[in-house]
Amino acid sequence: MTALAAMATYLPEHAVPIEDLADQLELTRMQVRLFQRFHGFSQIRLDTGGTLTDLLRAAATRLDELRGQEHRVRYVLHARSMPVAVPYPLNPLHDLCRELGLGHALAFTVSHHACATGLIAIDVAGQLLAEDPDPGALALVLAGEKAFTLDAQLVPGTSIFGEASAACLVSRDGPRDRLAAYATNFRGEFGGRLEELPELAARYEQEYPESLAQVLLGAVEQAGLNLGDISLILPHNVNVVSWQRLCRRIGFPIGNVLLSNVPMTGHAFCADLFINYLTATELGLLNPGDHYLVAAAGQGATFSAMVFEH
Amino acid sequence: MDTEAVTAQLDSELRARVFDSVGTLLPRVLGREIPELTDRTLLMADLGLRSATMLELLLELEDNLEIQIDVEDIDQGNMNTVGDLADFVAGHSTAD
Repeated sequence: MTALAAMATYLPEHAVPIEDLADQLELTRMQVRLFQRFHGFSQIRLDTGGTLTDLLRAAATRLDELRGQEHRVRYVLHARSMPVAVPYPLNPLHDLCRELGLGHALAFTVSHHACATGLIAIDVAGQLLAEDPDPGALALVLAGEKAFTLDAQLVPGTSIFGEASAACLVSRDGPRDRLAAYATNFRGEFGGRLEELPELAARYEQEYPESLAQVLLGAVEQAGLNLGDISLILPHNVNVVSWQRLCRRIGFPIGNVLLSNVPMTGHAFCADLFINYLTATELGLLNPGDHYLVAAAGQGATFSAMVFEH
Repeated sequence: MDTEAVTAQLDSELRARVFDSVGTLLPRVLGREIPELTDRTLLMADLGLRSATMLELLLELEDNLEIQIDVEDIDQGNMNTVGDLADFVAGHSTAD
């Protein structure tokens, strides 16, 4: 059973209040208030002057459990929301692998599922490890992206992106944070630039809550559990209001959704899930044996949820 | 007049003010003129509101009417028609 063996995250020190981003993001005063009041945003982090390699390195070098285990890492996956990161022939992932002594590993990017890609990367890592001849093999999943264009900084009326990163060692099996179930729903009919397709955007908005609810409940059922058995949801930090509505829909207490990072980090692409996990453990919100849900939705659209046993 | 009757009267006054304000504020929120509103005008299908513009409208209503709307209780059913929205705001607001 796929397990999360160790995790580390990096939050850049530079915090930018979202009102300071208004001009850059072309937000009106009322739109800034909307993000603050309903969506729960206060600031984002930016790794100003740093490259994508710097951002990913910062998380990977904080992963103490990687030290001395490099030879066991067979796969390195960069979970990426945005389809484009750097121009050819630059390859930050390969550069970083060489730096970290992971040049021998099969390194590749998982993408095209927007912010749900983090969960897919964990699933892919687990599948590769399950088939690997070495039962002690490990995969390193990296997440974190530069908010480098307006599209990468903002989903209008919905979310503001910030920079942060995560590194997670995945093992074929293990005693903690074992993957009990994974439900995903690909809705390719929502592909396209929604800002330019108002009818499609309206339909996506209407179907989003039910589609995400379905994978959450589907993963819980697949794990042989009831929603009442779930102690915590670790969300993607798209915004607060969408989680409030979703919780009302499925009858889950909003206080058990870890939303405290939304004001502090904004939506850090695929790194949210890992950042929220570490916050949950630091706050003592997960006890051994607890089942928790990790969930994300990606524009395009992919809805995904995993149940883990802590 | 008992307390309940006074509250109902206040709510209906507020409701009427909300309805009028929606008509005044929506052209600004949407950036275009809108048709004449009735209680049954559909906010999304007829007027093209989206989730974000709906929330922007609530903020504009708060400013315009000097009220605080308890938005945590709002759900899709409260946002179908102009009448639904006016009912919700009148029933879930406090004076600012």
